[in-house]
Amino acid sequence: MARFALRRAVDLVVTVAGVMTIVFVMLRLSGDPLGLVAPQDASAEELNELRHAFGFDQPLWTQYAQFLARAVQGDLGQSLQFRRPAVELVLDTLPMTLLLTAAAIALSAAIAIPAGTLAAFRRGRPADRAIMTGTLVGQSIPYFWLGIMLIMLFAVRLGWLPTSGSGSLAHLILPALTLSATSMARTARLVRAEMLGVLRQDYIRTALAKGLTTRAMLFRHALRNAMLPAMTTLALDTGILLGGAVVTETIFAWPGLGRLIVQGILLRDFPVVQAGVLYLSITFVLINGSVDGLYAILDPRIRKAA
Amino acid sequence: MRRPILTLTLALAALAAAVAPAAAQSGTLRIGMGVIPSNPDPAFDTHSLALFAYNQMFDTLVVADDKGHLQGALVVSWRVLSDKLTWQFKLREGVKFHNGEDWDGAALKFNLERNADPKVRSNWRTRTNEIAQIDVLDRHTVNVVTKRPWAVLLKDLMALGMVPPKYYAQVGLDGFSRAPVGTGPFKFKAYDKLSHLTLEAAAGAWRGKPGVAEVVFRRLPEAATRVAALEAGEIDVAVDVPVEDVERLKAKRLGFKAPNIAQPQIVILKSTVDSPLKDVRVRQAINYAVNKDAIVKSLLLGYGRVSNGQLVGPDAYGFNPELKPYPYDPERARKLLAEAGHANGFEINFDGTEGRYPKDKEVEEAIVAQLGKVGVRVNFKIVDSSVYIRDYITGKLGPMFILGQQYHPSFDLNQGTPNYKSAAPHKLLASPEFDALYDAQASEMDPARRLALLHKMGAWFREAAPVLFLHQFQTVFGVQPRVKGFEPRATSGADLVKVTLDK
Amino acid sequence: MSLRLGRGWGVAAAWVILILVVGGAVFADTLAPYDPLEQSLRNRLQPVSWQANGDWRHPLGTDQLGRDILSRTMHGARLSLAVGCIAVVIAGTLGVMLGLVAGFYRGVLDRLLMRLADIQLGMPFMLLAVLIIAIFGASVRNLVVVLAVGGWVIYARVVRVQVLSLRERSFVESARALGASDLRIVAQHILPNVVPSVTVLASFAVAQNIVLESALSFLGLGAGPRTPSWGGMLADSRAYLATAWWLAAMPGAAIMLTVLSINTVGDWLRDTLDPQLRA
Repeated sequence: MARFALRRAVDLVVTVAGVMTIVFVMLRLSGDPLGLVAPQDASAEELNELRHAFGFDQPLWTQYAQFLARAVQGDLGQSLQFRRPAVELVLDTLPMTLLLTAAAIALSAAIAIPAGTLAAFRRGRPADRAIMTGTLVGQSIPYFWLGIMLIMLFAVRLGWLPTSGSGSLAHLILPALTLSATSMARTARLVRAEMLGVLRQDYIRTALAKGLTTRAMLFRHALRNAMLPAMTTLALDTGILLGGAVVTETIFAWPGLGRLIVQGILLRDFPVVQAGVLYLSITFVLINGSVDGLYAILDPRIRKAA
Repeated sequence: MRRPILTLTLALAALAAAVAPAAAQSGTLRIGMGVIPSNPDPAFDTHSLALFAYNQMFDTLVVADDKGHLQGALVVSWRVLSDKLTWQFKLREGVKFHNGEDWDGAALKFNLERNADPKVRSNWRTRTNEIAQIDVLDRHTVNVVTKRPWAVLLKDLMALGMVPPKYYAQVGLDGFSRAPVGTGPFKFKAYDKLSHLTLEAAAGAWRGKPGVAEVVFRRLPEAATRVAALEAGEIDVAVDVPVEDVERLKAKRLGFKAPNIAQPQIVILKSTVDSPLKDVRVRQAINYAVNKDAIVKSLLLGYGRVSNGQLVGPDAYGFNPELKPYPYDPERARKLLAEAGHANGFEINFDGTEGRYPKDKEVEEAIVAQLGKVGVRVNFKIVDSSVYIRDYITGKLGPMFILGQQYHPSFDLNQGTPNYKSAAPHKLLASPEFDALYDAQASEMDPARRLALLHKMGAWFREAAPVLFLHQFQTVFGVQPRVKGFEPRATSGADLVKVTLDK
Repeated sequence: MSLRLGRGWGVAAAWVILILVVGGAVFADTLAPYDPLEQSLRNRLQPVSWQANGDWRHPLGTDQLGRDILSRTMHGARLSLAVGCIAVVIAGTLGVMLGLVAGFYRGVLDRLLMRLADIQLGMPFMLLAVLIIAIFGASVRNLVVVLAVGGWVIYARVVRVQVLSLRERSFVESARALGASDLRIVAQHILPNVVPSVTVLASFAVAQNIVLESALSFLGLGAGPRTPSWGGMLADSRAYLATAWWLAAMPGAAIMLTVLSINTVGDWLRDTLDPQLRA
């Protein structure tokens, strides 16, 4: 177990270092943030002075070395746009993004896994048809369309929920629902497909022959197997949703990290992007590590193999 | 199997019932807008909506009325001494900052120096470039000396919010942006760059006692959400409502205000890079090829006016009443293009925005189609709003790109024009003729002669056509019936002191 | 029995829709009633023909610039289908191959590939997309690149974890005992077993890519306004959701019908190609 943990720790460092290097280089390739720090009617000389003052005229490797040297000391720089330490900005917004993502994933799992299982058991019957149609809608709808529609229905027409913003559980519901739609649809379909496969396996047939009730059998054997791919995609979705919340955050004016980073990339606000991606990638690696650990618990064969 | 779904549904329903919108807190004016200041320090955001928020918290030296006439604010009167370089300012007496500090000559000097300090990196830094020296004569008299005669000094300084020197020295640049202090009728309460800026009524402000206890500027970047929040009663004022929604919302007893005219919308036609736009006939042809009337009527639904072939509207100092819009005349456009050697048209890059100006993407696409009709093949692409101004400053857009030519708050043709000078990094225009016209008006101290020079500059601009003149749009404000006294102005702001809320 | 018949009709209908959509896209130039870029500001936002103010000259109405929505939907199919399918083929092939290799051989290769996948996933898709487009600019080709780069990991990871479990199973072990080569084991015994998941993921990804294209258009990073696409049409419609529903409904319905058909045909193909599952 200690060896497993150590290997995971090494993986984490390698992954995060890889992400940071790629992001650093790509950011620099995309241009410099000069216009961000200059007054609107700056002269050409002023621009050159600023370029020098910020070190944007230095070779890439020098900039990278300086970045690493400071990062190791915990200094990720100042946001050029907000004039605040980048870490502070990230730590302000990261919890909001994590909250939204966690809510979306939870909603997705809570609905998709039972729905997918049910569909598999009722294959071809109305329940299956209804669920599959639902997943179809879920996967064909863009976030922003669903988001605006949910606002119009639940906030404007019915007045049950706030249109946007943050601060209470009620504010979380619509954005989480919007964000979870795609992942929910995909997971439900995957669970159904896996379940159909599992139900044909010999050991399930044997179990049925032994006279286990459908429900007990389901939980003991089938669901456990079907969970593997479902968990994999859900864990992957976490990564996608963490950053994919951009659109949802814009629609619902949710003060999260996604929009901050995307705007940071567009503005070339390097420190914000670097700090944000650093925290996101650590979060992501931790989540995937735990999911891999869960595999081992769910499926002894993998534990033996790993 | 059904149980978890059912439970969740019930939980959601229960939650929903529990959190039905709380009754509006009386005394709080809630304003939803696309952007809020990126920093509560007034030196760091030049967006017109940021100025709207700053203006409630801070005062400037002077303000302009809706006709462009200067009115005293923290400076009550001024005169230029006979050397044409020295401006003598008389300061308003008895004004205190929210922390009790006095507004005086030392504070004025400090503010101008802070703005010029390269370490501060004020976004208005160039506005103090012409100042050579500041002498505090007594507590309420200051002489500001310019490097050369500079007629627009006060107008240049109009955007600068005044901050208290002692407090600033105590808390520093960073501390100040966390808890800013001004002289305005509202004082700072809370700020979160991604969600809101909250202000509360200040006591004893010289502009008067506010009618509401609190103002919240909420950041609602998506127009559809802003409208929904207004419909659901979560905000009292929605800044910039899509014009299509107006009729629908009027049926819901919501009020609408559209101040006369706001920013002129133009398309820059850069003549500094190698492209057919270097030829003045091509630039004129583009002006003839676009149907401005149809854009205002069909796309803006009448919420705007066609520009009179100049960069400012009739409310500005320097507006030339002689100038007429370029008529819509595709035949003439084709002829001019043929004369310029482009009988078969040409290809050109056009950078546009989406969501930055009212109906911008639609307007841009209409222009693309209309230019296509006279043979100009336009490669059109959208540049994200957050980068647009940056790319504009560093000269990366174009050769054709859309722009809002801001002439507020100074209501002076001069305001937006320094960027057209040959030396500017924007690289919009390189014309010694224009440079001379610009410098002549900026340093002409006699108002009548300066006005004549501005008219001349405007006329030159129409003929040289370094831009495609389009229209001035109106920003539509959606207002709840309970809000009284909310009067938006062309600067897309309003003085919130006079606003009251019905119960 | 009735179920089978129903299924048969469903598959047939799905094929017909797909053929219509692809045909409409290929022959849009001759079939579409109007030029998809032809504007008419005076006739903007005309409702669908069966509504009160509708006009049969524009069966599906006109958009915010008075362009014919039917023509735009037909032309839009080109970009959406091409982008959706090409990116899936690239991402799927790459992902399945890497997943098979990683799961089957495990060890260093596995760890290396999974680190690569983690690095890639550590940069959430939207950020990667924005970065790539910030550097190389927005174009149809870059859109495919972005979607393929963002898409391969999910196949790799799902396939890998299945292979990990499959390779310990008795039929693989007996094949190995009989001296079958690695390639043979993978091709005959492992690949067929990962097909169900991969088919679901891939048919899903086509839809996902079309929708992602619209999210990128929402952020101004799509194929650009000169190329009509379903995603772009949807993104543009958001300002008019309350006043002109048909702007969003038409491309939305097109996406949904196409996705439904791809899924139905995908299921049918899977069942037909895989005798073990049909049993």
